[in-house]
Amino acid sequence: MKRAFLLIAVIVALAATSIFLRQKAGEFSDDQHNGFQTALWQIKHLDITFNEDLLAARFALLDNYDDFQTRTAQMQQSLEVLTKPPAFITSIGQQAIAQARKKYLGVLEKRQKLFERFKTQNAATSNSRRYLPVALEELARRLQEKQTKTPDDLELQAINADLSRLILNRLSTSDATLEQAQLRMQQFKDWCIQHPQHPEAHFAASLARHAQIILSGQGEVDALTYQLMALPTAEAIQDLFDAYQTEVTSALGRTQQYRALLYMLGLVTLIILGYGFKALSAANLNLEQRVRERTADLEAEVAERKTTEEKLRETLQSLAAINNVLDRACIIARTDRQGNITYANDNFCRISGYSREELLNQNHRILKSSDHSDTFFKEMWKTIASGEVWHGEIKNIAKNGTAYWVNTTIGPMLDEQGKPKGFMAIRTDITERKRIETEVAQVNRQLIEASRQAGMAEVATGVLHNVGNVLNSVNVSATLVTDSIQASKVSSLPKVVALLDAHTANLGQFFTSDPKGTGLPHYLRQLSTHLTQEQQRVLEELSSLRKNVEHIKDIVAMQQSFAKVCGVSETIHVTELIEDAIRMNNVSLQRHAVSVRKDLPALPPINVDKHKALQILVNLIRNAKHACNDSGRDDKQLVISAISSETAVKISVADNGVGIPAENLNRIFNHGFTTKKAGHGFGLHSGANAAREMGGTLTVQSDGVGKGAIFTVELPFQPPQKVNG
Amino acid sequence: MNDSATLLIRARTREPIRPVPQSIPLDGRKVALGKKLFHETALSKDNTVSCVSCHDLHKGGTDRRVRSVGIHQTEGEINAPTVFNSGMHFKQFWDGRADTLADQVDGPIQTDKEMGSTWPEIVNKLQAIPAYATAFHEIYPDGIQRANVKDAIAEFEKSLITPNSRFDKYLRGDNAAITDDEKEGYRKFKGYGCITCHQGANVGGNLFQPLGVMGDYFGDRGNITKADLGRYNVTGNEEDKFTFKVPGLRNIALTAPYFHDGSAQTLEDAVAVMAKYQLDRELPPKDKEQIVLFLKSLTGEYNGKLLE
Repeated sequence: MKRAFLLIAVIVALAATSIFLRQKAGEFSDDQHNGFQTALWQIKHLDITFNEDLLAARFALLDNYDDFQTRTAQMQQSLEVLTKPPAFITSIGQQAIAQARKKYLGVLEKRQKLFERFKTQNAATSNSRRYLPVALEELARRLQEKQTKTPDDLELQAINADLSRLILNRLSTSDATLEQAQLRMQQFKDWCIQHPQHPEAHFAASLARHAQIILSGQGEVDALTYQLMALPTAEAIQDLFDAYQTEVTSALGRTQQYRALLYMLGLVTLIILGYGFKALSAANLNLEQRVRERTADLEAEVAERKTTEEKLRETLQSLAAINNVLDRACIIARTDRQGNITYANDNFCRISGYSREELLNQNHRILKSSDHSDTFFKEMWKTIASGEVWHGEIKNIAKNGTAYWVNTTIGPMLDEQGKPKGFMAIRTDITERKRIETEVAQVNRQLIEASRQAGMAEVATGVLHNVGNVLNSVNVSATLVTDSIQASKVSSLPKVVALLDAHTANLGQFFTSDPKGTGLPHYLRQLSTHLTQEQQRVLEELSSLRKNVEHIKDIVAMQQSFAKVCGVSETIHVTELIEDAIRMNNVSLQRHAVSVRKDLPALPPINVDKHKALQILVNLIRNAKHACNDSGRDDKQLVISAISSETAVKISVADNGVGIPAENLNRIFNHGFTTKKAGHGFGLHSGANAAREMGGTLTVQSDGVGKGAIFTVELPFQPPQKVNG
Repeated sequence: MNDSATLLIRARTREPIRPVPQSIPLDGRKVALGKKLFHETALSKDNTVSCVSCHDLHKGGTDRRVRSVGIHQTEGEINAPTVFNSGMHFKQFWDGRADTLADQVDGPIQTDKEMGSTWPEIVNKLQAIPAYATAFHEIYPDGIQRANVKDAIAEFEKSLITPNSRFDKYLRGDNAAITDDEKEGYRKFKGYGCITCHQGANVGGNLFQPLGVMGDYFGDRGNITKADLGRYNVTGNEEDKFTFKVPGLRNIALTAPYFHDGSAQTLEDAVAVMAKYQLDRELPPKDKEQIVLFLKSLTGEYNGKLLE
């Protein structure tokens, strides 16, 4: 009796624990996770879009600001989602996310203020930028058309031509051209003040005001653009991602722990079940013996039987309860020695999709997937056939063809000789865990992809900056051509033709006596002069257009050539090489506030494959920038130095970033080795190869974690002679 | 539809001005309640002024006065902007001091020269009207509250959109919806650079701009008031002096007089002032006339009826 109570108590405890564990194991909610993660990606996406649109607005490629408003609203919605993190997030995680969100909101607020100023400034500047070339041309035309020109006219014409040339050919906003423009502007203004009576003074003064707006406004618009681009929104978003990812990882870990516990509970239950069987058969044996021995003592036997029956009933009850718990918690199957199924519980039927009738007497192989090797199953059979317990994770295929994963423990059921007469398998469903594991891997891949795109955006920024300025000139030329064609007098020709058509019968009379006819030759002469002039203007404009398009092609070609390896050696200055490499990283260096110190003595020129050398240096600088960034310090610094020996020059890129642990120094040039979250482990590997191809070396030094690193590329002054044949 | 018409529509979708949406999703119960509140004089100190007093839906959403008149017939400090399409503005008021329509409600209600009331007073007065108590409780669990009054009014104001102007029909592909002169006016509106600020669905209303970029507007006009300082009154930044929200130009033909100071009586005057002080361009009379014709084609429909 006492023992039965104990048994029941244990079963109740087991059942309660199993319910608790099941609940805990289901804590990770997919829906909540998806909702939250979508919001994070939406924010990231909107953030990148903002920068793209900003550049488009700066270069007059965006013609209204409505989209910014729509996106601001979308951003607010996504940020609202972040205030309700999924239930599996711990309170510490909630704090971390709230903090990262607050930081991002702070940056956004700053961005909003800057952006309002940008819109205001950009509007005024872009109007003048568009109008000024037109106005310059208009003034030139007015002066040109004057029959007699005064010295004042000629002077104004000269100043106007000067400014035109400067403005129209101004392809970049370098300081030198800016200074020159300022000078010409002053001349223009001075002239207007000195000649208030000149018929064009009013027009010229207005023109000067527009030029002034460009000169003062353009700088500010560009400064605002760069300030906006440099705002650490991407970093703040990364913090959000990091905070959340940490929580997801730990929540998945917890879930796995609870699942493992649940599984252990299954095992315990199995043991108890075995014990129950033993107790039952022992009781049976006992009973039979007593029946034989004590048939005489009926009274005693009756009493005894009563006790035994009660015990039996209790044991059976316990067994039923144990079975119940096992049935609910696990997938249970028994097979004979050959693996033919002799028992399947409801869970087994449900997950496999087969009915019990279909499963029974079938070999367990019908569930086998092709994911596991033959050795895998051989190992398993070897283990269980020898009477040992086998444990592992198996992918099975259900009746409808879908796959499911089970955490499986198979133990032998032994006969009297201790040989297996069949096997019992207890399994738990881990399909969801497997799926989430895959998904986490997927998210990591997406992160890598996003980082790569962010890198592309930086390159795009560089191109846009250079191309955008030219594009403005192209826009202006195109507008002028369009306007000119729209206003063309060509359209009056059909009228003349119609007039002639109407008088085909008596053309002679029409030309001599009809007032319309007599005026026609004069009109045609005028029209012809006008059209010739117009053609000339359009041609000039088209030639300027073509020049500008050529320039854009050059910029794009240059950008592409950075990416190519062409294998031709040329003689270049080391300083120039280094400057080029820095320039190509400039935008991102500025954006991440990494200062660059150069320590470059005068060096003899070097004969190398420029593109390969450039590729190595660009990579080293980019890596150094990443290392600085990851360190999180404020005084991020790169030092680029060069020294030469008799035969070679050594260029070093030193950073004060995260440094490299000693054990990684040897592997760092291996293909696929990377410490960057989003790295591919390709840059340094190909860098080292390229250096070797040029007869040089690429080496690394670091005093350890947190102590920065120095990469040194050594290049010979002359490339190695190629061995022919 | 033939190919050229399709092409035309595709080309027009790239226009800097976008059509006003035909409808926007809103809570009908809130709109109905907001409409009542919009006409409610109990929102003012002496029960004489309601929102419609200055934003008359039969006068293009304005009062057509230089400056609005509040309680005790006091004249306000600034020209009342139209309430039509105000939900499409990026910020509210000439100086953009409110981010949302709901926050905008606080302004006129508590300004001495406008409605001169206080929220506790308003909530008390509304609670005394049984119809409001029921209506509020049906929508808001906490009944008549400051935030709920603001919310309902804002929802009603969001419903005040004016789609289907002739110009919008043109944008949507009906080439005959506007005349050749109006098309020419639109081309010049873009050509002179008006479009740089007056773009988007609201033809403005999504950025700030100083009045007098190319000339001294306030110097020429004289008599500078606090309201003239514009956005500076909100931020205190020197560079924001004389800066205002660029107003939307939808239904502009119905909302004279123009500008924050109501100084332009006609559209012709307003266009001339803009050309002079914002663009520094001389407009030939013909161009001005065509631009005005284009602006008049921006008048839309409210509740399916052309505004007038």
